[in-house]
Amino acid sequence: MKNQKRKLFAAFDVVIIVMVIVAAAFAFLSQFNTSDSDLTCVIRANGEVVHKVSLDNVSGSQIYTVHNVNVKISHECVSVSSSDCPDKLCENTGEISRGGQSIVCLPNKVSVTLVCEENAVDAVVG
Amino acid sequence: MKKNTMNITRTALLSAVALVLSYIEMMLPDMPFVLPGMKLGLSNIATMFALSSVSLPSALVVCLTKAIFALLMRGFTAFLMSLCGGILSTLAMYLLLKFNRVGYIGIGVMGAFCHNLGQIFVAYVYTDSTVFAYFGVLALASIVTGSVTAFAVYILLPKVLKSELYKST
Repeated sequence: MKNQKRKLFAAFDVVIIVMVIVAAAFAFLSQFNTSDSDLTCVIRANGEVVHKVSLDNVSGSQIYTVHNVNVKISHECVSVSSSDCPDKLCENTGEISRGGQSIVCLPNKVSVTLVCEENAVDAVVG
Repeated sequence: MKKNTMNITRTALLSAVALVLSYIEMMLPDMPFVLPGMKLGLSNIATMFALSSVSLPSALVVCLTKAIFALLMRGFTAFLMSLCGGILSTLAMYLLLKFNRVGYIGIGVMGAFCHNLGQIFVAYVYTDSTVFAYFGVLALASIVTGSVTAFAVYILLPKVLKSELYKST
């Protein structure tokens, strides 16, 4: 049978692993502007911005419902309090509180992102 | 027995193995320190097996079976993600298997990485660029999960190739 002489770990594997690490590093660097002041919560459905809420303006907590996903926004953090999706991955993501973090509910096509105010350039709706 | 019949049998068995591995994985609790929904990708073992012991079409059939299982268990989104990730990772591993200087770990890591890539692409089409926030963590995780599957294949492949299932051709 073919491939029987293949090694578990060969020289070229190092190249592949380094490539993956570089891709990951690139992704991390491009994404993190981790400030936790002046945060804005952007809620998108089908890729369109539906709500844009500055966390500084929120007192107590508010619930926004988009495509059967209830997004709970408070002064410090954002979470999905409930959703009708089968996998509940969005609920299990828990609270996010730093810029660049996000919650995605794939079955309902909803995403929730925290961005720092100065980077927020999308159109404002709602 | 005819070679073709043997290969169909092998593909069917590996598909069944893939389903069992998927199911075991579903029963595992979410790892608390990583992203919710992230998985080990154990069923990649079956795909890698089909690829290195049968053929490319066989591995693609295993992917399709996995995707249909995901459709039944977790819905249409899961089906698309499983299929897209599976096909991309199978093609990547198929290309790497042509080179003798690549080890199992390299193939496994590349397969896991491409699986994530395909899934993120489907998620991106479904929602928006927010999902790329997951990319970094998933890429790093694919080094670990890919190595685990590669190790399993490395240990098991020589033993299975000696078994009754592969004797006749």
